[in-house]
Amino acid sequence: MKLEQYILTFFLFWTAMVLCTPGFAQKKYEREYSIKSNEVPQQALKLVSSIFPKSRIHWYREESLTGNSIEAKLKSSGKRFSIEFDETGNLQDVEIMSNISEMSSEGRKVLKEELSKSFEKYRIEKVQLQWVGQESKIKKSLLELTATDGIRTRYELIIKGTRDGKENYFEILSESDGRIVTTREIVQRNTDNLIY
Amino acid sequence: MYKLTLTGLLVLLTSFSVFSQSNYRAGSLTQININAKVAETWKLNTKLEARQIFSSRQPGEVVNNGFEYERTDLGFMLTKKVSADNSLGGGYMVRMEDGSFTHRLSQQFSSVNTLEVLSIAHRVVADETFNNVDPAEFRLRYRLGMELPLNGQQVDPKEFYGKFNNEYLGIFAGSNPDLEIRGLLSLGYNAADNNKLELGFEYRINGFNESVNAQQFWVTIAWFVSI
Repeated sequence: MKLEQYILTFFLFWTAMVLCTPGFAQKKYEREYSIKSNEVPQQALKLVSSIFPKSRIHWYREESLTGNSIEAKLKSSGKRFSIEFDETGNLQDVEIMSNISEMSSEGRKVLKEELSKSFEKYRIEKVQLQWVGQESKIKKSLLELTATDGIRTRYELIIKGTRDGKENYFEILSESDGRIVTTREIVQRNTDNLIY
Repeated sequence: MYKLTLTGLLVLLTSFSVFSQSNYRAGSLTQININAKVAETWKLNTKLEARQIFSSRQPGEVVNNGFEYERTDLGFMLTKKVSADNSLGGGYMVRMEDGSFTHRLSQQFSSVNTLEVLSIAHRVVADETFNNVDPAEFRLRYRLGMELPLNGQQVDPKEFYGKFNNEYLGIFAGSNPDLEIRGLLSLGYNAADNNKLELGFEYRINGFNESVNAQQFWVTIAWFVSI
């Protein structure tokens, strides 16, 4: 192939790519990206800094068709925290990386029974404790590192489970007594570029 | 991270072009990957790859800086997802080079694990290559791949990411086994979850059974589309 032919091939390659890109990009809009602290609502910044004055805080903004949110991620006392706010800085919920052993034994028993009914086999990959409640009560709970009265505690689990002979990842939301609230199959990211 | 990846890429490109190697090839690798779902757990990958050489040198010869369109590969790989992370596949590739054809069969196992931020992929491939001139070649390959978002905790649409591959190939042809090592560092742009573009630099070294190693330096452009 001559140099001219190569340039033509290269040009066609790029033209096809540029023409196709907008069409593919319109399919879904959901995005999470890191932001600087000066882009965070003051109310959220003040709350997190007052509870975790010594921690390095990473801020993220999540945009989707259903709404936008601001999230603070940090490590403190050996635990990983995710604190979610709405766009104006109102606290939504707190998630703390946890272990299933932190659930009561009664709760674990119920959860195990429910999961066994839903899945042929399963393995718990990740557990997060979720706290929802009034801002003042969440603040108190975070300072004391234990859920105070008025805080609704739930568990968010990522499991690898088999249903109808097919293995997938699922997000399970359960009450603290082990009853499952929701089960959602996780759509796995496209990883073709890591395989081929 | 974004600036670091770009700087790393530039440093690699400039440093390798400066060093005079006695046995090397340098050029570009352009690749289009089209992935189509053919059934619930089955996917077909079609890959068109072309190699263009801009500079080369053989042992005992002078540097050749002329342009050369080296070859075109067209490959098909059918994979079945056997679990949440793992896939098995088999494929066929035909290579067009100097007016003749080379055929390759391959069998593949791959496993991709997405951690909190980093995605890690393991790939094991066995392939067999045949043509009318050379003895049949058998290769056993392992590749470690890593992908890191450059903004946030996951690679979202319209975001950049960094990718690193390191591959080891055991090559068996006739009675002269060899090893090839490959390293790739690239910057990717995720236009959408089914449309990614990667620009990178790949270094390969083989000829460990020769007196002089053979080295390759490639600027890579890869486009991944899922339909």
